[in-house]
Amino acid sequence: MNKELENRNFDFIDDFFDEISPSELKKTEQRMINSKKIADALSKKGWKKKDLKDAMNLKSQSIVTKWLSGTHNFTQDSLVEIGLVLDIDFFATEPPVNHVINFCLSTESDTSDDWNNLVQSNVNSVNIPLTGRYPMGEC
Amino acid sequence: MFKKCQLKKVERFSGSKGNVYAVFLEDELDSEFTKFIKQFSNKYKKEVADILGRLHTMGHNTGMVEYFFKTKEGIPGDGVCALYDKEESNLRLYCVRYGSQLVVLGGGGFKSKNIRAHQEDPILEKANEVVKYLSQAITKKMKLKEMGFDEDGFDFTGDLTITEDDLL
Repeated sequence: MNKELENRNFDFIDDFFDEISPSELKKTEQRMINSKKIADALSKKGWKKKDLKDAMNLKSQSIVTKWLSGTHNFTQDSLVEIGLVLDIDFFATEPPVNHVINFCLSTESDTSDDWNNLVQSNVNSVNIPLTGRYPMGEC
Repeated sequence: MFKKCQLKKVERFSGSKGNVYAVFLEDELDSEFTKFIKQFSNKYKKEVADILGRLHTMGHNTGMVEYFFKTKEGIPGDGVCALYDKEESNLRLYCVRYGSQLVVLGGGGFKSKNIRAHQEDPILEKANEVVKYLSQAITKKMKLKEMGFDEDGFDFTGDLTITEDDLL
């Protein structure tokens, strides 16, 4: 490729991002995440925008379009109302992640205690609670 | 419309939820998207920041949800759309959306309150025409099997430079 064309890049975006406050970015992100939750719930119910408009007794479908656009600044009250109709809990905190570790002991000379110690030490390093034991021969 | 163009991934916007590309026409060093952002970044700084934030969020958090775009800005089925803009917003950015994981950014322009459709504004109409032509060019290149999607529809594969020969 032409040497000059190799300079085609998007470095300017980094400069812009440096000027945008983290809170503004977070607000944008949250508006879009809320919209996506509504879009996913509509899809799950097999609903169109009109169905949500009707279910919520809205005068116009255009408000639903705004809700779904990723640009709407929702009030807490409207999130509660939408959530009740679409079975979305916008305020739920992320449930704790249950990590399941499956592995197989393959070397006869290794004892289950050796493996437990090895696994426990690795798990501790990433702060995952580990309970139970992993005996040989149960894979 | 144009004789050559190249698609290039915008790494900053692309992430686990989708890939964002921009188009460079001819031998220009700025993409259509770059020109759009640079043109309006001073006068409409907040709107430009919002557009950048939304594109970043799509690539990294949500994917290219159809509702985030104004669809049907081209001919049926060509994927041409515009990033959703509120009535009171000043800017419009055209794109070609390929499912919920891939979008190609075109250019855009100032959206006057006094016009109802892009056909009424020559700059917006040109930006729209470029994106429509780009969509057709990509489709032709794909029919030639010189370009395609990966198996997940998550990214383009093949030669992302489209020349006059491809367009004939």
